[in-house]
Amino acid sequence: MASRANPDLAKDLARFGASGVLTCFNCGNCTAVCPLSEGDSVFPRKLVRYVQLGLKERLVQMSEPWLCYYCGECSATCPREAGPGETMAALRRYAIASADPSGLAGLMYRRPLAAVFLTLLVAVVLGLFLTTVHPRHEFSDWLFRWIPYEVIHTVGMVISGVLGLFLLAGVANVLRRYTAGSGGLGGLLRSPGAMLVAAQKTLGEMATMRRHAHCGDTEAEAARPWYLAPRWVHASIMWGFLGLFGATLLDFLFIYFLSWTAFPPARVLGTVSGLVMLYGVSVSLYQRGQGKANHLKQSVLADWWLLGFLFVLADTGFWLELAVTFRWQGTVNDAVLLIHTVMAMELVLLVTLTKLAHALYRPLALWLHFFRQAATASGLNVAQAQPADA
Amino acid sequence: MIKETAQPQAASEEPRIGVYICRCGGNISDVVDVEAVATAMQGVAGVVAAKVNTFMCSDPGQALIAEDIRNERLNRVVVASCSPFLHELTFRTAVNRGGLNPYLYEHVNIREQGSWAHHSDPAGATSKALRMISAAVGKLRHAEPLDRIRLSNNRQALVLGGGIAGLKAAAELAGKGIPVILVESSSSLGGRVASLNEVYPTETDASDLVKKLAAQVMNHPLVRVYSQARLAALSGFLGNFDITIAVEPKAEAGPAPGVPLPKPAKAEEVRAAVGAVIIATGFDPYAPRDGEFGHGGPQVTTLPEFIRELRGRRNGELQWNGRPVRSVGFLHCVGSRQIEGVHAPQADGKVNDYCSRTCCTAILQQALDVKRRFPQVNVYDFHQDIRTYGRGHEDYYRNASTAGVVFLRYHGDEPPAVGPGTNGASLTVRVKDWLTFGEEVDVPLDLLVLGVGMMPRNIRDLIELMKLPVGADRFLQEVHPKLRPVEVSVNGVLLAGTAQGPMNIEETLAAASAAASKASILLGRESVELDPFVAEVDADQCIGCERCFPECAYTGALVAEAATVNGQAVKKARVNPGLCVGCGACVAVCPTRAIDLKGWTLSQFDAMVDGLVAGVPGVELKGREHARQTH
Repeated sequence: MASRANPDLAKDLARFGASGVLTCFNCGNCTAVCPLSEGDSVFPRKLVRYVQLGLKERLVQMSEPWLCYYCGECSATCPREAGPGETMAALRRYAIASADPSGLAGLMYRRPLAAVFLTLLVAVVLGLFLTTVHPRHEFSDWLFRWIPYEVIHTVGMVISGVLGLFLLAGVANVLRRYTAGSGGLGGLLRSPGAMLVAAQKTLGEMATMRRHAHCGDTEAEAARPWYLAPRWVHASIMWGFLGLFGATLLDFLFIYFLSWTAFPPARVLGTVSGLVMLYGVSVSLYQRGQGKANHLKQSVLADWWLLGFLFVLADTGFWLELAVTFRWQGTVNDAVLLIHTVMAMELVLLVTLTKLAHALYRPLALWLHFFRQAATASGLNVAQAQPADA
Repeated sequence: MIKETAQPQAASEEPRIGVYICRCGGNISDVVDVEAVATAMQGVAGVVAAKVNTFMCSDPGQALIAEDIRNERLNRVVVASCSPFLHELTFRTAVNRGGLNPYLYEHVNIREQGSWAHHSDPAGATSKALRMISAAVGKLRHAEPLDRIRLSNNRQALVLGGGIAGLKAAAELAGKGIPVILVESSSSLGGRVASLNEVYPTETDASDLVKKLAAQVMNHPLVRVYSQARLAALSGFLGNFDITIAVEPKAEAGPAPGVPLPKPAKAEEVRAAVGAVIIATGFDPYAPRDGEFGHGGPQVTTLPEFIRELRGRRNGELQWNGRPVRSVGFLHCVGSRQIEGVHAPQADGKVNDYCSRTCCTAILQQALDVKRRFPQVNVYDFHQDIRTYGRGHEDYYRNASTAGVVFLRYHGDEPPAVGPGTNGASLTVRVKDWLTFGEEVDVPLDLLVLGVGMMPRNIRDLIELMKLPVGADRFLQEVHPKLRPVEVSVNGVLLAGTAQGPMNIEETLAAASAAASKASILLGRESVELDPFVAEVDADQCIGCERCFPECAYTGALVAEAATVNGQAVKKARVNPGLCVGCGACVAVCPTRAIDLKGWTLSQFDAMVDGLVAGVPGVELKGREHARQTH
């Protein structure tokens, strides 16, 4: 069966940030210079071509967008300035939107105003919800005369549940689509050995981002000190985030369940992680603001959104740490606590809608990529065959 | 160039022959024993001088010949050197400068046909050189001084076709002061270009272009235009064509595009004499068969029709047959670059395997135009290659690409298939797209525009009438694509524009200018000069058997003249030197040897055979060939 051309897809993707696709004349320079395109996973040209023709069924089955770390080398090389790197970034956003069954992610990418509104709305709901957990303020007392605490609590729980379902649905969608061309999920289960090898490789790759070392292998990149290179800036954000996530969980465990006032190892982990993340986020924000590097020439709201959230979270986190240490009291501290908690919860709740979703989908895609490699190496015929027709 | 010599040459004069052998800087002398050849030739009767030189073609070499003509009173010259293609004319001119008739010269090729061909057999090569030179000497013994043929010249041109090529040629000739008869079959000037809108790459209005050219022609007192007319008869040769123009008024359906001509009052035949003919009959757009790429369906059209339909439509919504068009596709190479076994043959059994050259840029111009005037319309381009070869043409491709035209590439042996549309589209084009790695893609369209190429026009009558050469592509064929690009093998007949093959407007106008300047060179002379190598009939020897007439392939070259032989009325042959090409077909059938070719007479052939067989009397011939014969 032939796939059907759809001119509307390119127009739609323009709203996700892929604006120059139609000017591409298919020379393939992008793929040739890409340090990560290899073997069965050839990009960006193939994906750019699918966007040009609007072969949506093909595109949503391709995990290649997640194999790209966006060094921008392809865009710098493109003779038509068609922005293949930006197209890959847009396709990642499109993948997030396509995996989201609520349609909210698509709405947020297509309409930045809607993203702002939704963020504020969730923040307000969460804020109201949180202020009712330990109602100490007159404001909340006044409020609960009108809206019973139980209602808000229940609504909050339901929202969390729904978003949790979204998360599961997103992961399931992505898995189903990306395996559609290679025998579906069943194909995976038939080679558990390859699954394990792939999992091991994926964890290794996530920990070190070794593939990222190949990116941006240019003179300009080489002249930059290692601590400002994209790989390490990203690594510091990621490790800092994971460390803070872990510290928060430990805190929660010890303070709420074991009623310790403060658990020193968690405090140390949190402080170090916070510093590491704050460094990465600050450098990243600065570099993005400068917009000089190939991969930072085009920034969309979703990029600022995530960095902004992490930046505020790191700063407020340190404030709270100081407040706890020096026993600061007062409304300002309460407000900072509220902001920190609301934003942390919102970040987690909206994970399938925002750029943070890459933390879910990229490992999945990497795992499938390594799985196919391992399966091909072991002679199993599950390498990317013709994508199935949707 | 060869000028006629002033000195009269007595044919009966005793031959005094000079033989010059070239070493060619070792190219010849490393293999052929040139000194031995010279020595041998010195002993031949009639040979006064036989000399060797390192480079005969050099100034000293040529001077040596002229000097010997004076000092040794030579009246015949042989040069044995390289191919006559290289230096025959050189030495004819040198001989002429020395005071001899240039046709009392023979050229022998002992390099390409001697030293180079028999590199490993020096003795054989030397013997062969001896035989060949001996043959040339024999031929020269029977040579007569010849004069180039001079014919009167009717300094008027006939231009067939009133399209831009014919208009341009007529305007340029008239501008040079040469009267022109312009014959146009329709009732207006401008031809195919008159139906176009803006033309690439200048985006000038085609009708302005046509009006400008037509005004130059119609207002010129030296140009006579015949509308609704055709060339009914033509006879004669360069400088001396007698033509008959048939004017045939007929009712035409509607106003033809272009600059209208006054309707002829009555049917008539006009006779005239012209010196040169320019053929500017143009092309026909390829007419797709019913069903070819969906042709015949309501939402499929051809590029010329599309251009005509869009004329004057500005902005708003693009509609076709009352249906709004959201997606339009342009298909390249319809009727061009066809492949045998893949495409159905044309009426004559052939496929059009040539590229029509103009369609790529024309399609991209239209695709870009659609994108600019109707930005919401999706435009697809199905091509094999993009051949935007001219100055400024590539911009159309680049701009179409940046404007959002989507390109799909098919291979010639797997052309796209047009099928019914689905989901509200009028039709679907299924294409194996090699920009998408050979995947099959269905493109839904509301309108498909077939980029039809150029077809040679049906001008069979003209081809028969004028004996015009036709190429494998069925367009008229020039003598040489580079050296004589607008001439055909019939002297005095020139090609202008797309009668010769696909060309765009720029190329057509350049070709028309070239044809006009070539014609003005031919018509600029008082008389026409031709090589003297034509047949000649000895009327006394001719018995009127008429066997020669059916052999002659060149109409009018052999003229039958009434005569009486032994009391019987017969037709004797006479040669019209303007039309004879010197092929010798008539010579071969003449039972009485009454016909001879000047410069290649039968007695000369006899002498050459003798020379080749015998070599030089008294000189032993050596080499492998002779060794084999001996043992």
